[in-house]
Amino acid sequence: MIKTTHNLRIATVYLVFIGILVIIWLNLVNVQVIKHSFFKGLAKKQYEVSLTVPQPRALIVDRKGNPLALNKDSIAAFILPKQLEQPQELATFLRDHFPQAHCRIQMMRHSFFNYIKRKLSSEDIALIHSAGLTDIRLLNEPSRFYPLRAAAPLVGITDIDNSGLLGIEWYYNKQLAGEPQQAYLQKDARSGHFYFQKETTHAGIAGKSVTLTIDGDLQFLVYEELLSTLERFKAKEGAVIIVDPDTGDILSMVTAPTFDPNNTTQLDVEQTRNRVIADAYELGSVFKVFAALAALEEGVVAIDELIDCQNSTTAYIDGRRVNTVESSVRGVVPFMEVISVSNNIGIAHVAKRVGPSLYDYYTRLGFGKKTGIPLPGEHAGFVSHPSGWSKQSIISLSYGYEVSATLLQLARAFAIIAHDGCQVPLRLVIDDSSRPQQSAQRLFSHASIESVKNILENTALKGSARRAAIGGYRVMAKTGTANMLVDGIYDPDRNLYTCAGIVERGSYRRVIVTFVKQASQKNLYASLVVAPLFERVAEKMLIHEQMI
Amino acid sequence: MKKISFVILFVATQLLLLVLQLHKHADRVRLVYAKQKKESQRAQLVERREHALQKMHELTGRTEIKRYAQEQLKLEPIQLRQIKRVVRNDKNNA
Repeated sequence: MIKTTHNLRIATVYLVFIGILVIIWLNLVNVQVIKHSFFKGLAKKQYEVSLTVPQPRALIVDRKGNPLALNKDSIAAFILPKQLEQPQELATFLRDHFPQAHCRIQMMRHSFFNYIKRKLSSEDIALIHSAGLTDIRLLNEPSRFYPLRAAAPLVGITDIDNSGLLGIEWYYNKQLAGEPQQAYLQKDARSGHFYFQKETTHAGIAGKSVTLTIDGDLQFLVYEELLSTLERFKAKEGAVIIVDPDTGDILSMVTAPTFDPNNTTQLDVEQTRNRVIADAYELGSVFKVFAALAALEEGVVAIDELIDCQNSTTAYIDGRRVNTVESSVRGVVPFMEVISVSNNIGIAHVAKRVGPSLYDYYTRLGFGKKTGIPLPGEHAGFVSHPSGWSKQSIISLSYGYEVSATLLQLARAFAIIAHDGCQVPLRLVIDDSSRPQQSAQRLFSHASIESVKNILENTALKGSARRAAIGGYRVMAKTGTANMLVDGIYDPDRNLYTCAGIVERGSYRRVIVTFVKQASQKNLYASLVVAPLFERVAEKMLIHEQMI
Repeated sequence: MKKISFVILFVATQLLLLVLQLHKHADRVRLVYAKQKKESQRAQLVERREHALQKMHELTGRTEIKRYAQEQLKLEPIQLRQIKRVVRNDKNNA
């Protein structure tokens, strides 16, 4: 009896233990097999931290390697609303010194993280330090520093998250930013900073710098000259471009007024425009060069052919009134003189001989087509198609109306003339891989180009662009003064002044375009406003490039 | 070998391996920590270099140089006509 009871007890204990063991096993199966992924994830959360390390943004440099955009750290102030130690003092401080942040934080008081302000100024940082509030924490954030204000609309800026916002910064954002590195850190669950092991899951790609064809020093010199001209004539805005016609490299692209890229707290969007590419204008008489080129190429005029300019400021051609300025009035003069004095009546007569083909020549010169340089917001311009022409159109087109062009398109057209009638695509970024090696396509005959160059040289020696001439250099230039179209009417008091030309000595050639919009003084002409600017810019360029 | 000796040797070997393993782990942790300290120092140095570079570019900005040249050194912009190319005649010099 006793033995039976004893065996029963042993069996019971045995079964209990077996039962416990089975429960443990079942639990283990549950934890390790059925809920395997859940617990694995839980452990990972405690011991492994996923880390994304952004690559430092690559530099933007000029053709000599001088930086145009650098990295710098900016400081951001933030709070963790759930972990505040001195909420009253903090609220008072924010209300007094950062009222916007105070309002925002009041509205989002249940959030875990709140910025007070990003990109703090040195005064803000000093103020926060002096307050001694432990609840305000500081964070280093990457941002950009731009050493050359003159290049601001071209280089662009980054936004608060250091992502490209304008210009080259925007266009090449992906290349400059690279790809962030991703890694897993194995950490002690209680440790804040220390890790045992780091496993890189994605190596990331370092940002690749962008080298511009721009010469930073030349950009600065040209900008200074442009500012002084704008100030002298109290003009609204202006621009200058310098292009090497042999390579297509844009050496300088300046617009003014512009913005301070290192202080974008109060940014005037209008000043961020790169007017060289974003605005298309009816440029006026500077287009006579292209009408002359078309006529010479078509063979409907010779350089020394006598043209009747009707010796008057006003004439009627096909019943359409054509005006020309007093200083350009001539009788019967050689075609070369028609262009050099900028007579509208003479060029209109010649353009009529060319007819609708003028459209083809203008488009062959690149007008109405984007240059394709890597900048956002480029305007294609406009050339009136013959199907939409009125009787006035051929007359207007001959002296630069009914055709709108960007200043860069104008520089490209002059580069074609400078490059002996051959086309070279303009280049803003030096990147050998992206540029197909191609021979320059001939667009105009050598004879026509030489004739146009002689006309331009004569214009710079004796004509409307004589203030652009530089002793010892072959300067070929043409000016243009155009009325601006305001509410559908050409306003004679609001003008655009353009001077475009070529500076040459031996194998050295540069195309320069100078432009000023809306000088405050009345009765001004391009020969007074932008031709001297052309000369000063050319001088600076020649000294800078040691072409003495 | 007696059974007890074998057990003692086995346990001792296991203990030794355990100690070595612990030592290896501790050493690894120490080195990882040292590496992280170096990485942190490197990051600080990179940051200082960036600050120094930025400061340098601020101070060597073209506007600053121009202002200094004109105000402190009383220099004036040069004109093209003021420059004359001097052709060096090596034969005469020789």
